[in-house]
Amino acid sequence: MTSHFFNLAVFWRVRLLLLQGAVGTAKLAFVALAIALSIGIVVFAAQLGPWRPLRWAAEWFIDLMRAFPVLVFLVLTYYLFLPLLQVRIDPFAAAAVAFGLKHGAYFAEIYRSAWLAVERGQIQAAASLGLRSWRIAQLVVIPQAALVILPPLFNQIAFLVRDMPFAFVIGYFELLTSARAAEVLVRNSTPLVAAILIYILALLLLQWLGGRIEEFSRRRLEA
Amino acid sequence: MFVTLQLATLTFFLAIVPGLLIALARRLGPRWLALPLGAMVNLVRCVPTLLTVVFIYLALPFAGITLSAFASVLLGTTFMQVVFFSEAFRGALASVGKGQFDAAYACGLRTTTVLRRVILPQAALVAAPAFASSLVLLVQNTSIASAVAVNDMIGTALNIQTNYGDPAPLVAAGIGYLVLIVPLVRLTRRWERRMAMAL
Amino acid sequence: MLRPVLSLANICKSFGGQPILRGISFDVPSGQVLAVIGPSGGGKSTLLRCINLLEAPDEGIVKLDGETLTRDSAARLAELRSRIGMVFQLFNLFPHLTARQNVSLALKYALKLKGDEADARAEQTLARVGLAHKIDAYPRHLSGGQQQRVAIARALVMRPRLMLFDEPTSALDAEMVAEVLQVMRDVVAEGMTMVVVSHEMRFVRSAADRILFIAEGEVVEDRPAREFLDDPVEERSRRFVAAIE
Repeated sequence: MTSHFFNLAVFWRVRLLLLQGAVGTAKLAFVALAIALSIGIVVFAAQLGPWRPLRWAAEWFIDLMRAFPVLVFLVLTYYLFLPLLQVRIDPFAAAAVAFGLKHGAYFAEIYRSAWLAVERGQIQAAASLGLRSWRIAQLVVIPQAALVILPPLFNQIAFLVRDMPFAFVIGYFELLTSARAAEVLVRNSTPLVAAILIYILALLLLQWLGGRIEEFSRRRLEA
Repeated sequence: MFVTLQLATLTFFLAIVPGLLIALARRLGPRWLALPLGAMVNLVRCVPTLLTVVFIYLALPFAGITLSAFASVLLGTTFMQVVFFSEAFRGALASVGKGQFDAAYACGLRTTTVLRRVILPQAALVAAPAFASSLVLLVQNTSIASAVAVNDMIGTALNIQTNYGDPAPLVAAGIGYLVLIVPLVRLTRRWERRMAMAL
Repeated sequence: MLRPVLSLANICKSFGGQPILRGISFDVPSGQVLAVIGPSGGGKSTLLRCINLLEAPDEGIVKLDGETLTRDSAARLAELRSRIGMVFQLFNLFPHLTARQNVSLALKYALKLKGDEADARAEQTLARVGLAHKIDAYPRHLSGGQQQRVAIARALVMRPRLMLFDEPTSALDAEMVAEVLQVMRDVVAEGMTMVVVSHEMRFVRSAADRILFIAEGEVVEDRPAREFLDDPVEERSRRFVAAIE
């Protein structure tokens, strides 16, 4: 059994293939994350803005994105939306856009809850001390919001990374794809086990990183 | 659509009791049980659901456990859902103050009664939003079935698309999922707002 | 010599290596009001919680009417606990139940009374503490003093052999302390055996029969109330009494 699932020799043979896959996943993850963080800000801004139709649109966007299963949205984007917009059909782009949009909605919600978490009273107090609004934002709101935002932020990034294997379905070469290819090559299940372990490692690392950064910010804030 | 609903309801009923039990065990149980459970839950949270399902479907047969595509998806999603439910319940349980346990036990009530009449009613209120989001995730996860060639909504639609180049079913599938899930999302929002106001 | 209602022998308890209680022993005869006083952190609350085993002592034995309280049998423990009433500093009312439901819950599930009978008794007891008009109110609509009175009713309705009070007025605003102390005085007048941890020295002076002065986990003094307050023996007690009064 071990030779079939945990075969080190096999792992060594396919290591380059898996590495390619891992790099593919990492690339997609970073780009999707960048897109998602940015879209989050745009949607969040829309929610705060003075125009009602914009706020309404933002809320509907978020609900829509939360409703679509990742796989479904990904597939729809690749086969339907992008061709409709006559954009070049590339699995990487489709995946990046789809993940970016979906997680962007979640990030917008996270930004909003961090914004709401800062007590209104503090802003009033700062204003009555004579501080200008951008100063207030800089010195009062952002430091506190930044702390509150960290756990859900990292949580969401973890969710994003967890969604990466879905790109396999539209043929993008990421870790799962490479693992499956390797399996066919060596007729052994070790690559898949390796892929799972790599994801677990990456996510545990992310958790740990999130924890350290939170610790660090907390100390800075309390100083 | 039918397969999707089947998967969703089965997963729900199979996962909810273990989820609750794990949450209770972690909060109330002895350390030798609570800590390993906690570690396990944390670990499973780090595994992408798709990988679990693919593993069960394609790799387990080599260990002698062969499951149909449907069963693999069911097992995979239930497994993950147990973890998500247990996290939702755990957060809710934690929000019920220790004083409530103290007062209930001090009255001479047995643990079953304490949980049933005092703790769980309070926890349920708090759990509602997290529970609703878990439900959303649950239905979403059923779409994974398509990746292992089960004929759920998106699987069938994809089939038709790749074989006949006809995108219409895709749109239909998309709308189908929306119909199922948007109400859940709306519900979650409403519950979240209520919670925020109550605090 | 009649058997004491409560008997503690050599109770020891540590938290994380720190000893909180170091071998406390005392008996409480029927009808006595025992006040436990002392500086903060001395272990008074922990001691009280050891009596009904909300905290399990590391060593020592607790007996109610001669029966030992242990965690060995959940059923036995629940039965014994139903004979002890406890009132907490933070009230700990069940927020999802009305006043009447709070009071009748244990009647129904611990004493297995029928619904009507339980409700009737609950209403009676709530009337005794002056809250007949708030029977169907939820805790969040009651003032602190009212909530604590419901909590006392919840304990009283079980007709316990012994009542424990853990700083019952410490979380209350000054105006509400009086109403709760009045209810407690009524309970004393009915001859209830009580162990009270409190900082309200006027109450202690007027209602307590005996005082246990506890500091750093040990019984420093154990004397009749009048004697202790008029002339404390130990230096620590003198300083404490002087500071409080």
